Amino acid sequence: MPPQAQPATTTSISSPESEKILKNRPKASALRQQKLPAWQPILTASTVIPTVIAIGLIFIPIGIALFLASDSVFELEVDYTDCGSPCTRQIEIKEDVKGDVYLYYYLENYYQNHRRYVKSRTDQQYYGDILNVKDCAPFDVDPATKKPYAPCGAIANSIFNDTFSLTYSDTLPVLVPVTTEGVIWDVDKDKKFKNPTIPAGQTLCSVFSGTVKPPNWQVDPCTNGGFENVDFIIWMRTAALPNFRKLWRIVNKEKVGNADFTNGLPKGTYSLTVINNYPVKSFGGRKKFIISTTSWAGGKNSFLGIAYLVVGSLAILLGVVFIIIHVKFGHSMSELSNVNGMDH
Amino acid sequence: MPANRISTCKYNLFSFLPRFLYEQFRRYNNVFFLVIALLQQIPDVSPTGRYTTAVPFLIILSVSALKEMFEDLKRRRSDHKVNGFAVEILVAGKWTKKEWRDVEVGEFIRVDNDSLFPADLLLISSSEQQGMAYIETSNLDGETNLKIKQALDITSPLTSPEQLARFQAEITCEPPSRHVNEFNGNIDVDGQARHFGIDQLLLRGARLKNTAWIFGAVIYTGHDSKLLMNSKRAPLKSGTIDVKTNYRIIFLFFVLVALAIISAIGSEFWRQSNIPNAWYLSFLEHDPKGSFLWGVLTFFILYNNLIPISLQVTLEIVRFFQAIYINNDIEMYDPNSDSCAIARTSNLNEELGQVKFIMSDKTGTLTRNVMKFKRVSVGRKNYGNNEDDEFDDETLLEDYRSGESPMILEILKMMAICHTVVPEKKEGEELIYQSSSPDEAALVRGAATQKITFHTRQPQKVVCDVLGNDETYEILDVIDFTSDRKRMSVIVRDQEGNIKLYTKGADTVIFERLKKGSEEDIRNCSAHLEDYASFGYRTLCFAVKNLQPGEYEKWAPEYKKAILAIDNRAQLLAQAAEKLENSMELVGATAIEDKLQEWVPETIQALMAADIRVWMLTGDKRETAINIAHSCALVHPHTELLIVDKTTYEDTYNKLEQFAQRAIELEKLEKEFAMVIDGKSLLHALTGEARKHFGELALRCNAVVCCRMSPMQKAEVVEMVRSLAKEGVVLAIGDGANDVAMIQAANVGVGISGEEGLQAASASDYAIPRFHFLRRLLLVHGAWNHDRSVKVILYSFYKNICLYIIELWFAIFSAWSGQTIFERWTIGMFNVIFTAWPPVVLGLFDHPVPAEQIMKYPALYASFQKRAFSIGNFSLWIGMAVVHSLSLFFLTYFYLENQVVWAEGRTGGWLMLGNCAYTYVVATVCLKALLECDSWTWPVVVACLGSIFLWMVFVVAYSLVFPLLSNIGADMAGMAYIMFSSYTFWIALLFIPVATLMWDLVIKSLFTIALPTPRELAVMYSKRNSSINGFERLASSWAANHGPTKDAATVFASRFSLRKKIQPSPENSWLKNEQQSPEYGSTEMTNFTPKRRKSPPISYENESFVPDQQEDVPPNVTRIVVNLDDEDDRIYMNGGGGKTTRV
Repeated sequence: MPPQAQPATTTSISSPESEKILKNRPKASALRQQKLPAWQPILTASTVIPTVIAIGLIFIPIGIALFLASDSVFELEVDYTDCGSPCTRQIEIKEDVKGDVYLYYYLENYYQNHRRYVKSRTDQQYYGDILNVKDCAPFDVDPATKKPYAPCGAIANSIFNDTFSLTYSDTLPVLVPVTTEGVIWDVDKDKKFKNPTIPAGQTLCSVFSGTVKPPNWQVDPCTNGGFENVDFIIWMRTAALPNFRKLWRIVNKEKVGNADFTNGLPKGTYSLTVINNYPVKSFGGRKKFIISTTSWAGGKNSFLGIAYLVVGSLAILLGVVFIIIHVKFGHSMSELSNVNGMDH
Repeated sequence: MPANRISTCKYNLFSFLPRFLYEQFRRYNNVFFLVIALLQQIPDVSPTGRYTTAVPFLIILSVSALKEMFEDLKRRRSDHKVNGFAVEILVAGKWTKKEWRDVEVGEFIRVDNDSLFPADLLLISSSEQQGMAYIETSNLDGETNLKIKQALDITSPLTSPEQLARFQAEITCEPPSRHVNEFNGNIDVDGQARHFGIDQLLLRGARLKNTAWIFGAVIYTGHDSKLLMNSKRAPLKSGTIDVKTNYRIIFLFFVLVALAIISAIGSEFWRQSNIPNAWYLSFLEHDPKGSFLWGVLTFFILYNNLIPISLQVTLEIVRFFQAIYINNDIEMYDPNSDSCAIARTSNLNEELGQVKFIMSDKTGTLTRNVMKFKRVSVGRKNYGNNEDDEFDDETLLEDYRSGESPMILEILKMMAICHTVVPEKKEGEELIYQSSSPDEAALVRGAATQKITFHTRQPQKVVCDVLGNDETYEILDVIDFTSDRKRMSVIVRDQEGNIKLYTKGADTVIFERLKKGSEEDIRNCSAHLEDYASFGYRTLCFAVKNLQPGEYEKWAPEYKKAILAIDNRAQLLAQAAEKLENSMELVGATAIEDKLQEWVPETIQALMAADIRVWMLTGDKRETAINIAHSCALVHPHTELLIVDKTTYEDTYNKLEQFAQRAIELEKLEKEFAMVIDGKSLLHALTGEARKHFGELALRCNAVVCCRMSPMQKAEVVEMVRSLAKEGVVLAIGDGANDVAMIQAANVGVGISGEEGLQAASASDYAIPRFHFLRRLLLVHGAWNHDRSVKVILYSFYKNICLYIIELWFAIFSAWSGQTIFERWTIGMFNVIFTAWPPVVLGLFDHPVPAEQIMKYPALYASFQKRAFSIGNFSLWIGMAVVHSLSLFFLTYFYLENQVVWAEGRTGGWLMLGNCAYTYVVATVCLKALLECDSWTWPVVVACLGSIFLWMVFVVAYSLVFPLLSNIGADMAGMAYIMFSSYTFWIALLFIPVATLMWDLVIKSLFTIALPTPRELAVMYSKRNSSINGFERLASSWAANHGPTKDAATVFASRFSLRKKIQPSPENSWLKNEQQSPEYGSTEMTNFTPKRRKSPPISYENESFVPDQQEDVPPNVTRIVVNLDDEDDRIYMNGGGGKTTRV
């Protein structure tokens, strides 16, 4: 290297001018000289075989765990799109459903993620600034009364308004006890949806009095919890995809009469009654009611587990293929390269 | 502004903004982002809000603005310093201290010893006798020797301020110009006009030396001074990579338009078939903003980020630091001159890795320009030998003393008198000769060794010690050397009163001006000259003419008139000189050796092994040029030389046609050949039809030597090669003022900041102190920077497409409404925050191959050129980006299809999908950077993994914003907890990026195993042979025994080895060989590139270059290949040690 080539020259000049200050000499730090300790990854068989096999060995157990988790989940769907109103459906549950039981409604082909639809909301209003409707067009102000809608916006206006009741009918028919406790995220409860502060001596409805209910709504919001209504909050967390479920209620773990729901849903016959208000047939949509438990990994979705298993197995397979290639052809590499236009 | 204030700043306070914006918006991509930012202001059109392009765009503009300000502030600071230098100005008869900026035209100023001149001055008088002054002009032309200036005799007595205050004169001079070596003016004192010229002019930037003080009259100030007239910025060169990148961006722009139209069509279909039925969207049925054209606009904004907003600024940052690497490279630092390599521009860094042609100057670049007087031919005898370092032949004086040859004294006297050298004598020190021409200094020194010592120069007078007695010669006139005249003369009156004309110059011009009957002398001298030229020596002929009484007096007035002329002066002077310079008598000829620079043959070898064609362009004569070409290993003894030396167009044309045929034959025979062409033929070769043949021939030749070239011709050749070799980058390297045109014409200009001057260096793009640093500059910095910059560009395209094309996949599931899958601000910040660092670290810390490897195996350089920024490579990256985005989107889609990914049974909504996808994209893209990085250092790992972490920190912070700041962040409120509280989110974070990148890994390794690139072979090879520790040793010992690494290393060694005699079979032999092999001198040639002919056996033994064997021999040994016709006389010379080896 050049510096090694220099000594003869440097020594010859350094004796008479040893005090010569080399002020322009660059600093020899590893960073400046681009000599940071480095590792060169090179994807030869010796690095790639351990890598893919390691991927396989890690992925397969995770895949099994995920698959088992999904497999342990109980899920039952009831499509009531074509049912009249009120609609009643019989549900057979053959095994006891153990653990927390979640009740969802499910909409298909419903574009809650349409850009103009999603945009039409004003989060400040839902957080108590009741007259603020700045982003809610075209459902910001009622054209007739010139009063702002509360809650405003296209999302709020199109709120899902079917109601469900699930009855356990193996014993004396009892209504399955449900709760809204735990249905919504803490952040929605604490930071996103708040009724305006009610001055002393007034009611929620008097605070809402300067507003009108959205055109599609049948009940006045102030009589139904205002902005803190759980169904409203659930609806306002818009779905990412056109087929979506939303959590409606959680089965309350208690005894009702003879029926014991403390461990979940006992096996037997249930009947579901729906007040079927919400129109979806016009645009080819479907509606379902879903009863589901969860595992640590969430609801019934075996995709991730299967994907882990598939990729993990493929990785192992690739590792084996690499080993075969390596053992069979590795040693003839030099000849192989020579074929490509090289001599030797 | 005061006349002498200078400003080299680009901006001032008021012009900064408009000028900066003007510069920025000349770039298409900036205009594009401005348009996007403006379009976003239209309500209901932008899917990403109003400021999501404007803010990152402003951030990026600010970074550029900061860089510009930083550079301009440096200029301003230096201007301010210069403007504030102290100077003494004559005010009312007294010297008053003022600053440089106050100096005005017509004022008298006083400058003291070792001070700089503040403006261009007319020298009025000085502390020395007869108004002499010595100046040093290294700031102007880099020449460190002193130059002598002398005041006119009418002003030189004005040595006190009082006299000066009373002095009145009118000065007429030419308008300000750039010519540093020409100046004409007249001074009119009391109606008497006197000419003054460059000898009386003191230029701004020069320094007064060895003179107590001078008085001067200010002629040009500030920006009119010659220094500033010359400090024009070099023409802005842009790299081929920028041009290509622009094409890619334009291509992406059309892709963007196409995608916007396709999406808008999708939107239109969806609208028509769904909106009338979907009651919840019925408010959009008669929406004025729902039309097709608005749709196109919406999607245009949605997809705008396909064009990487940060690419320009990332590249600027990367190049800025790459230039710092070059400046700080200790292996390109020369302790002798205490100087480093300097990257004067940063936007050509990667061009250094694409060089196909090197156009090199000879003198001062390949050779040292340290002249040694070696031999002399006088009295038909040849004195001196080639072995000695300097002329040391006692027979010369013996022959004179014996009275055999009176001409011996004459030539020694001429060597001591006929020149413009200035002796510098300090108390108790040796005599030092200051000269603008190193040849003249060598001759004067040579004469001094023969006891004719020139020691004093006074105006109109020189004093020499001739064999112990001082003799004074009156210098009547000096007729300067010009490149047209190729000779210089002095007219002297010796002590006896005889007037003599002494002329020295090129053999051709001297021989044709000799008196009749000199044929025998000429023949004899020519033989000697040929001998000298064959050793690569520079030769000069000397002739004398004894002028008849009265002859000079008759001639002198005509010459004076020519001197005074303002127009056409050079021509008039030449005409006048011609009248005297004839019928001369030949005295003899001298030979001066110009030693090669350090490591020149090794460097040329290495560059040629890197598949670079090296051209030597020189003003010297053909023989000298060919011999230097031999000694610097440009051509070898068996190389067939195709010599074009015709003087007419027809002949040149025919010769070129014939050689073009011959070249094809030789190529078939796998023989080496080189072309030699001289200036006159080149003139024809570059015109009309011949140009085509010349170009064809030139591109086939391994090496080309162009001799007797004028500076403009050098530039023309460079331009011709540039136009012929469209893809190849042409690099020009030179050191002198005569190389400036060539340096500026080339794609990349490299200047040697050596002894001849800084002119070339200051016109260049890169300046290096030594020629051999070119090897490192190209092979290491060039190859690395090119590889890195290409990676930065491709990676920037990749990451943008990978993220933003996901919007297209999401459009399928969001009613083609233009809804974004990601939160609007996270989209904008992707380039500025979360993935800003990986490309920067790739550009700064990636080492595609260890420096030692590529220095040793230059063929790797050529293989890197193939890893270039090709359409194929670009498509590969784009295809990969699309595949990755598909994989990332759909894996996330299926993972979240059921939405319930918490044990609590809740769903996360829109941004759960968006943020998850975004996290997986950031992780994949950052890991991809690691995968593409050829050398993992801690900054790379920290930047890549840190970027993922940075995004997570950002999510947490952003989740906490609402409702603190109006409506900002409402969608993101609490999303961090929601996302991070899902176990499967983390499990998918492991799965999705790994599953996406595993295929890259597999395909890459398949290629590495089956078709390893030279780079990979080199890395495997170095890994096996480097001393390694710990895990690596374990892995590599495993690999050595099991892996194909063993074979790969063997393959690499066999492919890249020059040493055919050493069979690369047993792997240990490589280790041994490594230890034995020379470190720097060795160049492993290659036969890797199939289209190249087989490399020749090297004509010298590498071992003789091993530095550690050279303890007694300085490394800067000149090695000259003597190539006489007789094979036996081929001698390899070792100038320093005096060793001679016969081969």
